[in-house]
Amino acid sequence: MNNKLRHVVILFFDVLCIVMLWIFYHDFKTTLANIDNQVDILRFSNRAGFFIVGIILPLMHLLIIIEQLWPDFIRKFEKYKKPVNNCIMGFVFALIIGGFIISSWLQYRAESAGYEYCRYISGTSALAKTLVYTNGAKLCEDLSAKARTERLGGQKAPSYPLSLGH
Amino acid sequence: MDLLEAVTLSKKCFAPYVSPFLDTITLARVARDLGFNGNVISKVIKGRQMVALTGYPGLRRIFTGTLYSSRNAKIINMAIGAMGITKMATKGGVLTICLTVPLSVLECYLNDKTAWYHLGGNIGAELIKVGTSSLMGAITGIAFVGGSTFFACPPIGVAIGITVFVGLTLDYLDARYRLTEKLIALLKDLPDEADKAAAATGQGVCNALRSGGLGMGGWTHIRP
Repeated sequence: MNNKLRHVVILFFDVLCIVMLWIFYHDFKTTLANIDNQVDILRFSNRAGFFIVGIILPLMHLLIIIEQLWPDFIRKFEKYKKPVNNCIMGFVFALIIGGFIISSWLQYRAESAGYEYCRYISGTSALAKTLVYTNGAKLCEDLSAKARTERLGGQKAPSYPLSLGH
Repeated sequence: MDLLEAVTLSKKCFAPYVSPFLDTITLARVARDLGFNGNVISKVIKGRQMVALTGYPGLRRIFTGTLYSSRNAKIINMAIGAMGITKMATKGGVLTICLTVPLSVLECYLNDKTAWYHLGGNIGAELIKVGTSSLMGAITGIAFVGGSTFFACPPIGVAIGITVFVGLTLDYLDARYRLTEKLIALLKDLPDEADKAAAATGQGVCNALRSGGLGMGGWTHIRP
């Protein structure tokens, strides 16, 4: 892979990371506003906080660009290589832990605002889980019954107890 | 916990994380051997692609030399260089698919409330996600090979990070725009569409598909 292509490829992923970070920020703000406004249904990912880790890639790319354009500038910091590397590793771990904290905090905030976790209509995919919280158990029951009917291809859903809570 | 719950739990909490976990072990082994301040430099010597390692070879356990061919088994197995990254991503993707697909099939078989189109839609969506994330991870890892002399093992770390990040992104977009549900709906309508397109010839197959619409038990018995 030549140098120009390398930068184009990394730039593509830089943009992806920044776009996902922006989408996460937007959704995070919207979810918090929805909690404050006591909106009926809250839907968010339990791994959304991890999008903050994506900031690492543009920063690393920036460092590579600086290294290639101004090698003398980087050479000045050669003796600080070890502490800088350790700081970068620490920063990555801090972001990963931060992702956990943000995701858990959002769930805590929804539960403390009186929302109930609606297990049946919460979706689970390979890496993340889409959590659905409803404002009251009745709404969750209605949505679950509707989802169950849809899943059964329009047939009437059986009347066994709904699974609510964690 | 019944069998269905155990299978679902394995599929959701175990299968997707096996490959990143194994890759992280490889990264840790490389980092321990080369150190965070050691470095890997790609060079072309006499027309051959070589990998030069900085630091003290006497202190290393795995890489006891300073210059290796990029096709060296040790270099490829430790995910160093473009070929190593490609192999790591391919192996990770195949492993994830090998774990996820049988568990999805088993889960659908044990669950009476799912139909063949749920199985097809879920497996199709998982394959697209795993394939795309592995490919993206490999491309970014390769792009980082030889990019910087400041970091020790960025290509492996970046490949793992981007694979997980793209996987999360696709999951997020899937949940946001309900792409899997749309794919399932598309598969559900497939027999009707096929009926319209080929009313005379395809009728038998489509009726059979529709009759096995509910329950994997029904689905398994529609074969001629």
